[in-house]
Parts: sequence; C-alpha cells; structure tokens
Amino acid sequence: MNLEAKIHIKLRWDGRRIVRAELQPRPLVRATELVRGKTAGQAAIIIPMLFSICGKAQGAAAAVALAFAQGGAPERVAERERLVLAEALQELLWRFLLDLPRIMGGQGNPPLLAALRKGLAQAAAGQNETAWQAFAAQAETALSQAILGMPVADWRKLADLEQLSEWLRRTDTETARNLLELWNGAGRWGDGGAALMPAASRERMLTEVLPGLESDEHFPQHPHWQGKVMETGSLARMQAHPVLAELLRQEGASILARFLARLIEIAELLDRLREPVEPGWVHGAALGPGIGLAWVQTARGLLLHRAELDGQGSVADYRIVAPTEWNFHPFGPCVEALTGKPASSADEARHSAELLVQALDPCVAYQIEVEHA
Amino acid sequence: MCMAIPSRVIELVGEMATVEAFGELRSVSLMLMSDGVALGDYLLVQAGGFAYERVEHQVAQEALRILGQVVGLPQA
Repeated sequence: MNLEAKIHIKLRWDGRRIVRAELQPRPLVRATELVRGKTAGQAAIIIPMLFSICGKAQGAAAAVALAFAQGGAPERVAERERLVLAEALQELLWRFLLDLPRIMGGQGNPPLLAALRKGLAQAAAGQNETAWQAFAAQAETALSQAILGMPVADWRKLADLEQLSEWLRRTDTETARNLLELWNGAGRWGDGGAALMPAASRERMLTEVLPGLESDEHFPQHPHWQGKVMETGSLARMQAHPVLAELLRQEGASILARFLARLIEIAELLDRLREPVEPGWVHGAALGPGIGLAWVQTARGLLLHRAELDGQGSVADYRIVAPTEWNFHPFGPCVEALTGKPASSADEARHSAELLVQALDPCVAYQIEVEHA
Repeated sequence: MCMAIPSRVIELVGEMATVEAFGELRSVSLMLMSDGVALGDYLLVQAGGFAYERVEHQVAQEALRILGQVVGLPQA
C-alpha cells in the first residue's frame, strides 16, 4: 500500500471535448487505526507527526478535539490560531510562487518560497509577538514585490473587475502574467455546480455536518453537507468579497475566481496574523462524555477532527475529514467541471484537467489518464 | 490523507536527492530546503516532488514505525 496514494482522474475524450470524467479518490488510512488505544496525550503528538501536510492545523484540530473529549477546554488556543494562520499564509503563497507558475510553463520562485518557509519556522519557534510581526512583514514584502508588483494596501483598493483587469495588464510579475492568461480565457471555466461551503459556524457544524460524520462511516472519504457535495477553500471563504461576488455572478466558480480568491485571502491573512480577530480559524465543541469535535480552517479548506475516548481515557475512535475529500469528491466540482470541456487534443484535455486540479488544490499527488472515446 | 511520509535520503546529486520510504524510491528537488541536506536525513516531500522539511531521526523513525503497522490494513 502506498501511504501517499494519488487521486486518479480518468478522462474520456472524443476528439472535440471531454465527454466523461471519473475521479477515484485517494485511498485513506483510517485515523483510528493509527491512534486507537493511545492516550489522548499520545494521540495529540502522533496525529500532527503523521498528518504533517498542514501539520499546524492538524495539530490544533487534534489538541482541541481531544481536550473537549477529555471534558476540558483546549489550552493555548491563541497560540495555535497564530500557527494555523501563518501556515495557511505560507501555503497560499506557495501556490503563486511555485505551483501556478509551473502549471503555466514557468519556473516560479523557489528561493523566495524557501526563505518564507524559513521565516515561518523561526516565527513558530519564537512564538512571541515580535517573531509573528517579523514573519508578517516578510510575507507582505514577498506579496507586494514578487506577486502584486505594488504595495498590498494599494492593491486592496482595486474595487471591481475592471480595475483588477487593468492591474493585470500593467503588472510585470510572474503571477500577474499567469493570472492574465487565465483572465484571457484559460481560466474562465471550471464551475462544477457544487455549492460553495458556507461559513463554518458552530450551529452549522453541529446541526448540518456532524450528523453525517457520526452516522456515515464513509464520511471521511465522501463528505457531504446534508447530502450535498460542497467546495471548500479560499473561494468559499471569500465568496462575499465584492470583486469575487461579481465574478461569481458572471461565470460561477471558475479557475480564475479560485486563484483570485487565494490572492485576496492572502492579503486578509496578513491582517489576521498581525492581529487575530473573531471568528478565528480554530474551533471546537464537546459532544458528550468522551467525545470532542474540532473544525479548523486551512489554506485548502475545512478540516474536521472527531475524537472519542473510552472510559479509561484511551482513544476508541478517531475521524479526520480533510478538505481534499470535499473538493475531490467523485461527484464534486472537479469531475462535473471537466465533463463537456472542449479540447482539440488529448494534451489539451490533460492540461485543462491539470489546471483545474491545481485550482482546487489537492494536498496529494494526482494522476490523469486520457482515453480516446 | 494529508500524510507526508518521512523519506530517507540515499543519494544526493546537486539540488536533487533520491529518497526512500517503505521500499519506494523517489527523485525529489531540494530547492525549498534552505539548510543543507545530508545522506541519511529524513525529509517530507510535497506532492509536486519538492522536499520541504527535515524531520528529526527519532521522530521520523517513530512515524515510520506507526505507519508500518497499518501498511496492508483495509483502507477506508
């Protein structure tokens, strides 16, 4: 078994368009198998060690869910919130400094990303106000100079799609060139019809999501919101932003909209990192004796942990629902958006799928197979 | 899910490395590693093939030990 299993996407292409797309989700290792019988303290250490992609968010979710399961309240919540925000900021910058450029045929800026990762590690080790402010300043400089080509505060004044388009045309950064290509057509598609996930309030989590998680053992692999597939991530969180709302009205959840949402959210995360505000990104609740739930936002979207302890305080059941399973659901936005997509060659069909997958941002590798119908 | 398996460096060539985990070999880029990487180090690798973090030997070996116990178990 490959523990870092891939998502498999199979496209049937008839010479003019993708007539069918099928997605086979990655096989999941059940979290329960890894921590059953461990104490809550041991599980809180093991989970972020194993689930180390977005490890700060996984660590926060585990700590919160296990604390509530033990009948207490989570400690160091403000500190965890800062770590989760900083990790998300770094992850979102990664998309523009490495992933998007590479899918568009460029090289990106690995040295700058490496420097940001080092800055994050130093801030996380320092865990003090000075260290967080220093990382926020480093991230803002990277954003303004390497990505936006202008001060962040000025960029945030762009009030509509026309002003955004004007910025794209006069800015000479790799990100602006990539986004302009998306703007000019390459990214003006991709709405798979899945609803954008609403804000994950406590009430919604407990009444609209938890019942599925508790009653359906396949929920971690095929999550749903009261039976409906949902898209999670930056676009879902930022859907009310005026520029994105305008774009969503025009063309739905396009590839362009998803990347713009990430950029807009990076700017917001800089503010949050400097001065965290409510509602935060790390939440949880006690569900009853021995049971705790955590819901934490990550760069890729909503992360859920549900921990259940037995009478001796050992883990009896543990479930993790990662954002990748929402966005790469077999009937989710990826599959639906690819079906019917025009493509004049098999390579074009494959590239379209790669671009959409990158826009939806899985945390694991993927494999795309094109079959001539 | 969201797992990055600690992978041991068995060969270094410039900014590339060959890493091994559970018998599987992969060629990975070291461009995101701001500090030096040595043979025998354990690295975490991003889906795109970039190593992004070094893991302490003890932590890596403990993670591999736990993961080794579930290799072969039915998957969800």
